[in-house]
Amino acid sequence: MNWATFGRMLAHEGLVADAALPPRDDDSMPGYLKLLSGLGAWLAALFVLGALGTASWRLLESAPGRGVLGLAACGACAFILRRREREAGPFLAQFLTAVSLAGGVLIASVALEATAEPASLLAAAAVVAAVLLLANPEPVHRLLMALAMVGCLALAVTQWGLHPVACVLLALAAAAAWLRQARWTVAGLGPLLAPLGTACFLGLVLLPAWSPAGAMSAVLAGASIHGTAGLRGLSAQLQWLEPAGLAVVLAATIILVGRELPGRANVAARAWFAPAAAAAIAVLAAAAWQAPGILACLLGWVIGMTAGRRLLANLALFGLAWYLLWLYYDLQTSLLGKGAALLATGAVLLALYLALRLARRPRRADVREQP
Amino acid sequence: MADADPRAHRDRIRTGDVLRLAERGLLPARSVGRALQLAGCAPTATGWRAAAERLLLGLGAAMVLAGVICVVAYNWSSLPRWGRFALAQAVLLLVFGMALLAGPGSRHGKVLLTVAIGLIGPLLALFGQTYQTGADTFELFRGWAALALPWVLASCFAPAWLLWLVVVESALGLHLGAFDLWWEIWFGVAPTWLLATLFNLLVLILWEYGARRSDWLAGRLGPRAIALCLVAPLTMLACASLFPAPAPGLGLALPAWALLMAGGYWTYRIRRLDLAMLALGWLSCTAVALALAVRLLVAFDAVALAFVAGAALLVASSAFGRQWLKAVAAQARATEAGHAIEAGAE
Repeated sequence: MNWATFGRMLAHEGLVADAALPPRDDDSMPGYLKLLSGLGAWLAALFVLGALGTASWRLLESAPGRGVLGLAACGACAFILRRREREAGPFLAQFLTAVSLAGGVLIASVALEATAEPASLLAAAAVVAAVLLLANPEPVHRLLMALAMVGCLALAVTQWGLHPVACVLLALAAAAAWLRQARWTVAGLGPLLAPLGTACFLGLVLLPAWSPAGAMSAVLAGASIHGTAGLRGLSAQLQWLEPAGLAVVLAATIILVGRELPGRANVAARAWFAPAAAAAIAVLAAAAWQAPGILACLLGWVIGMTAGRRLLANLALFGLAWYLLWLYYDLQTSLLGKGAALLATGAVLLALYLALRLARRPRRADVREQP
Repeated sequence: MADADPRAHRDRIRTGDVLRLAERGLLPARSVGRALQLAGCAPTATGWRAAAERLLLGLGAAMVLAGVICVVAYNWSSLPRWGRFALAQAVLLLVFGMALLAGPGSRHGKVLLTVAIGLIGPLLALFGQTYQTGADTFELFRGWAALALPWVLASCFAPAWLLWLVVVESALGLHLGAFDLWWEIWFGVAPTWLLATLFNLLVLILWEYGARRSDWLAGRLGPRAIALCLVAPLTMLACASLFPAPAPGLGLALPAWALLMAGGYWTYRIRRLDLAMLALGWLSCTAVALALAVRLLVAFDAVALAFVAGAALLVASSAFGRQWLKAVAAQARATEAGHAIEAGAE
């Protein structure tokens, strides 16, 4: 289907006033050329930074000097990109991204000298990333800053023994960002919220693998080393929140997506769909209680497909494979326990598949009525 | 024959294209979901059902398989020797049987046969682990390549051939590493790395020849993967040869690299057009030019200047390469359009 045909389809359905849509943005450069340009830009930036570093090594030895250089680098890159009328080409964009990233690292090194407490350091890094996210409009730079910000915040929350809370919050944020992408695009917030949504999505599918029950024990051990016995109790009490919270978000997402689908063939609009979906997800959550990452990746897949982002949907499946690999090597549960959980989850999924197939078959009454 | 038109992907409506309409106020927010369905970016109600069925079936089967693997791993140490072999061989026979059932000519059959080819290696590894004969790892890969060859020939499937090539190259590489032969000079003139390069070049030539005669080899992934394995090590050796190094035979690296670049240009620019291959060659030339610049400047003890010159070279190379490849692609499109008009006129 080409752009002109798409315009006619939109006009036919009454979604646009005029079938003649404005031309799409020119994007004729193949992906591998952009990749090579980007790699060349990062290498060039490395050389330029090396030259500048050689010339200004005395400044780099002091914290204020590093801070000033970092601020200058980040500020200059943001200024150049904001002043341009047209979008920068891949080489310039990646060159400035690399320089800005180096500036951010210099600023973060000043914070590292100021405090050694992990949570404060992570919070400071998240603040630096948030400021750079707002200042520099380049998409790849924004994505990197969003990943840094979300990653630092998630790690800080996990430091406090609240890993399940982090997982559920990321699930809610990813769902809110992508299921309502149309609204924030119309509001002009697209360039800002797309990288944040992507970062939350990656956190959703990767964080459970980073900390299954095995890493939770490391958190508890860390809590005991720091002498916060109350934190240990809280962490143990909150373990149920991860599978339960993810199941609730998954069920709500499926029901919401189903209700908004147009068309008479939509069974999700019927009254029985919501309770049936909720019951199915509850059974699945019970089977996957020891492996909540499966629920997280399923949610990621639903979000990716709904938002029309096949890359995100495929990332969710990749995240699931990564999670299963991590689960295999986790030492907190025996292989037999893990095997039983996976077999139970597989059985539930196959049962749901059979239920969908049976629901698709025409009823006997309908068949008899046909001439 | 020209490479795929880089603008062909523009006929696909992307999610970003739809959202840009909303951003410009041409499409209301409540209509974006329906527009994405019309564009094929998001599924309709029927599409969701089909996608959900595929996901539930695939994921369910994967979970069951993962569960079985965990249970087997739990009991592995208590399994007797014959039990382990029976299990490994049963899996291999099951996959091979499924390939036969699906039909060797079908896509599913070919994929399953490729998986069966991949499972021969773990079976041989189990054999080596159980019977500690002191054999080297390269002998495992050599045996794997030999046993898999009949199935590879029967598959008529490019990924199966790629997998077999990986096994063969691993066997050769491990053999050379085991006997410390990488820097050996053969026949008084040819270092081992040069013979390895000639071997990969022969593989590439045979693959391209086969691609012209068989449809199943016509995809470009295979030749590009082989070209990457051919060009990357030779480029590194050519760069290393510019610096003082005691490695014997390294003096031949730069002339060999130059010959390869010339041959690649003639093949993929003049004889047939492949933008990805030209991009790979351009990247290789940039790397060698950069190494040369750094070598000259470091020799004059101008380290800071070396950094600046390196950056300038990369900027210039990137700009030139991009413009050159775009011009080549545009010329190819114009030539194809001309041929199409002539054919239509006839």
